[in-house]
Amino acid sequence: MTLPDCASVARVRRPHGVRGEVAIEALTDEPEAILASGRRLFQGTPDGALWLDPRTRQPRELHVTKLRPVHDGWLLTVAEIADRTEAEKWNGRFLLVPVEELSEPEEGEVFAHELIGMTLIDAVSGAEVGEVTEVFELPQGLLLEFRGVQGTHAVPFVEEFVDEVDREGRRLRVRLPDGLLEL
Amino acid sequence: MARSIKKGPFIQEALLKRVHQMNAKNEKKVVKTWSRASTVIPEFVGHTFAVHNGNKFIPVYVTENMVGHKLGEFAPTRLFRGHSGNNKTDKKAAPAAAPAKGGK
Repeated sequence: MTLPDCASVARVRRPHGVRGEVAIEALTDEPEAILASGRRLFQGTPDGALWLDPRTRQPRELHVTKLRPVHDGWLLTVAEIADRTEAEKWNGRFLLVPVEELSEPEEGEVFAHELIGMTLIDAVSGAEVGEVTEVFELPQGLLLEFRGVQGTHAVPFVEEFVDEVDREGRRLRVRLPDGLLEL
Repeated sequence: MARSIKKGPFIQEALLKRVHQMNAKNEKKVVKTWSRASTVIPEFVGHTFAVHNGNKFIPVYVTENMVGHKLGEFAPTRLFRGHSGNNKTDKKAAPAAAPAKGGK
């Protein structure tokens, strides 16, 4: 079995109750579809990589039996976690899904993690402005941190400043406001 | 206890003056501010403020739905580096839409 290319869809926060239910933080826009009952997930490590069984070198599959919303996230039950003692071992671990099972971004959309490493091109002059080094999720939307010639700067990921997202070319055409590079 | 309605919303005087000047000239420049307690008013919509978070300036592009909130709410003092490293997630994003109308 070849190892699937996976993306994180949830992170286990803590056990909930005594029946093996875990509280999770959803890392997907569609938790109800991706984590629906009957879906297959893969066990991840606490740093988001695919966990491999040390003996067989194979990933471990998990099967979702129940997902329900709570006020600050979701409660997930998988067939492989039977009780609280087992659930406690999962704190901080990521749950993964093969990339081919995820829906492709629509036109003009991009996976947030893909923004890292993209080159910023000035829409007016066509000159290279910098490279995205970090993406932050703020209450008002995403904030891109980029490294330019004069140091590190940030720009909100809004239509006003980002004209075009070129996924294939790994480029963002931007129109930076006056004074942003002097911060 | 809520602020008295009689006083109106708090906005740093210098900041308000700067925005009024820019609106009069129809100018759009990033405005640096340390005044996290200033309330966002409709005149701010369409402007970009660089709000200090105690460490650096966070650029905040003001949209209509931010009106009534404080500038500091949009410049967290702790930034979560959730998309670092090789950790792929299923979060999709498109550049957020601009407000229906710009600044005055």
